[in-house]
Amino acid sequence: MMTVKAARDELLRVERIRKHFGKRSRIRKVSRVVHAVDDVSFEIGRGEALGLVGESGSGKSTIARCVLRLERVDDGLIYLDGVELTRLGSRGLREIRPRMQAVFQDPASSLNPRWPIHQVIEEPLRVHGWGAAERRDRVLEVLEEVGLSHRYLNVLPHQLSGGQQQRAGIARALVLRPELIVADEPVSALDVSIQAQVLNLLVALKKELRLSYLFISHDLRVTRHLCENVAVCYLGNIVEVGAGDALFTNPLHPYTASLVSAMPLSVEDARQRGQTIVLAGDPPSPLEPPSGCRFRTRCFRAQTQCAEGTPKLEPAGAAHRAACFFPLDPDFLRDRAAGSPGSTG
Amino acid sequence: MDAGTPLLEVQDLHVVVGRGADTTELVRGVGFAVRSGEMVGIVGESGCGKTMTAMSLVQLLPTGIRVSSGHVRFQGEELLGAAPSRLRHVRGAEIAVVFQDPMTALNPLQGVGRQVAEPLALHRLARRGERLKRAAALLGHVGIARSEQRLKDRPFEFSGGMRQRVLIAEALSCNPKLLIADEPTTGLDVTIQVQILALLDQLRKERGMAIVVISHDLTLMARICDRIVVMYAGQIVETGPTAEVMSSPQHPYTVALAASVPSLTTQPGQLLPALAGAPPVMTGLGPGCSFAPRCPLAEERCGRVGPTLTPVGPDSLVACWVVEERRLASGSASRR
Repeated sequence: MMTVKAARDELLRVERIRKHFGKRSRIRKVSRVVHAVDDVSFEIGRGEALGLVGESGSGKSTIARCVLRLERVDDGLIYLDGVELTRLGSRGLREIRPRMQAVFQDPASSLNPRWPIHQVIEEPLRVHGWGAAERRDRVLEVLEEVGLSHRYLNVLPHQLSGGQQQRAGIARALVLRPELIVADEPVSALDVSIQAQVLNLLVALKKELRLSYLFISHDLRVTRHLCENVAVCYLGNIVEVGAGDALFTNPLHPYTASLVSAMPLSVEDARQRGQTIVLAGDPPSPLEPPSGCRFRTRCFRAQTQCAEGTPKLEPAGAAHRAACFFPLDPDFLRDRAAGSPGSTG
Repeated sequence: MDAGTPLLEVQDLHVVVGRGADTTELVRGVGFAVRSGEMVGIVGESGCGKTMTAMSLVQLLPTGIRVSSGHVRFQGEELLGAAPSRLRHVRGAEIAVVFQDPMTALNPLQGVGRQVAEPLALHRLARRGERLKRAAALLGHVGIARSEQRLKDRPFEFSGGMRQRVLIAEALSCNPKLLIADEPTTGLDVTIQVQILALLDQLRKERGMAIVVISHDLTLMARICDRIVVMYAGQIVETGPTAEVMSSPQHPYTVALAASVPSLTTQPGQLLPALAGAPPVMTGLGPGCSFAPRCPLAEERCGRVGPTLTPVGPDSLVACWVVEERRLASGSASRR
């Protein structure tokens, strides 16, 4: 087993992963390929959270599934605490899986409807060979951690509210004491007031247990709240990555700017109607991604160069990188808000 | 109808499910008005009765759920208890609905052109030959490129945002005076949400059409609506012009809703002022304010007697004892 020790306290390192899904059309007799993830790299430090934001088809869920080894990458390497995951056999995987666990989007459908809550939470322990007494103690302990009362131990998932169900889902992920939590849209199915409760829980757990999160969301506000760093995905690529605040106040990539303007970060923002950047059209199909920069077909700054060459993630300031030939001025959004009419689609 | 009469007036609307002793009220005395060309947003969490309120306007409630009392006046005409033939005329032609979930609201086996033209056929507003032409024009108008060539395309050949546009085109086909849009952007991607909201805003301005939008997202509503109605447990807790509701929310529930979404003013990782508990079950509501069990301001009387909507500004109403008390106190202080 290859082991690489990183300089800083790094937990997860993803290096240039690629995942394509083959799609053979029965009618046209040609095989087509979905470019789900292309050349994606990032790292997550211990106790840190990285948010992946992007729209459907951007590849963010596929990245998460590759990290969890629910999907095998076509190319690239993934290290968890120095252990390379992509080539691990079943025994190696069994050893490493307790260290990385998942929280899913829809708590109702990710809990077995016929199992009482204690059984749902206990299952990972059983799989990994914990004894009965240890299991019982650990389940009670983890219920405490997620703020779920012991009287819910014997109820079925449907008897819980949405927020409580998601707490049970988080408890199941935490029960093996993982270091990395991969959470795919964990709050987007919840009502606003419940969403805040679950976010508070995730923030508290991260601090108390020094957890790392790979947090997937389409909601920039939620991502900025929970994550130190944010990566913006578009059609299988990361187009911009950096600290949340830098990304949202001074976006460099036009796509990030349009996402930020679409999702106001404050009430004042929301009232400035003219500020919204309305992109033209839909995202292209990942079956036939555009040549060059994949965003160019909807970009308000695209030029011929964008069709010819593929922009690479270039550093722009401390830990802020963007893949764009014509990055925006740091004050782009503020200038728009001040009333200078921007070019929109 | 004189100029002062609102286009739509809802008064003391009650919607119930079940019969006899098993009756549960889902909407409990809702009232609001919509003027021509106005965009009103009804905001609340799941189960607060916002969709039931909207569907009772056109009486398209699910089986077993019915309006038990109240008034729905459209251009001065009472719609509750109106003859079915009259309702059939109003629905589609005068009041159109864009239903939730563009993925399932269209017939998957029929070309979109025919679906967009269907209301024209039902209301006998256009001849057979002309209908598809009108459909193509409508589809073009809502932003579908090469619409003449796409009339025979089935819904699966369109993306989610495009299907929502098809539904909006269908709703517009008979030139309605009022459009009801139930969660028109839920389930769509962020950049597509912006497109749909911009389209609704443009249509309203061009056609002078009134729009009632239903959503769970307060900040989204804030950017397009003129007025906001906040619902909780089947009742209106606060209503007023968007600017006022957003800049100085009064009801503790509205305050909590606005504060529980992280914003630029919240520090990353700081504790969000989350409401404890969950919205109440409609079968077990007590006599008092239904928000009292979760309310940070609740007093003893809130649990006994429910507050009524009271004016707090020229066009703003709030249902809260504590807010009313504070208002009275500051009012008498300023008079002295």
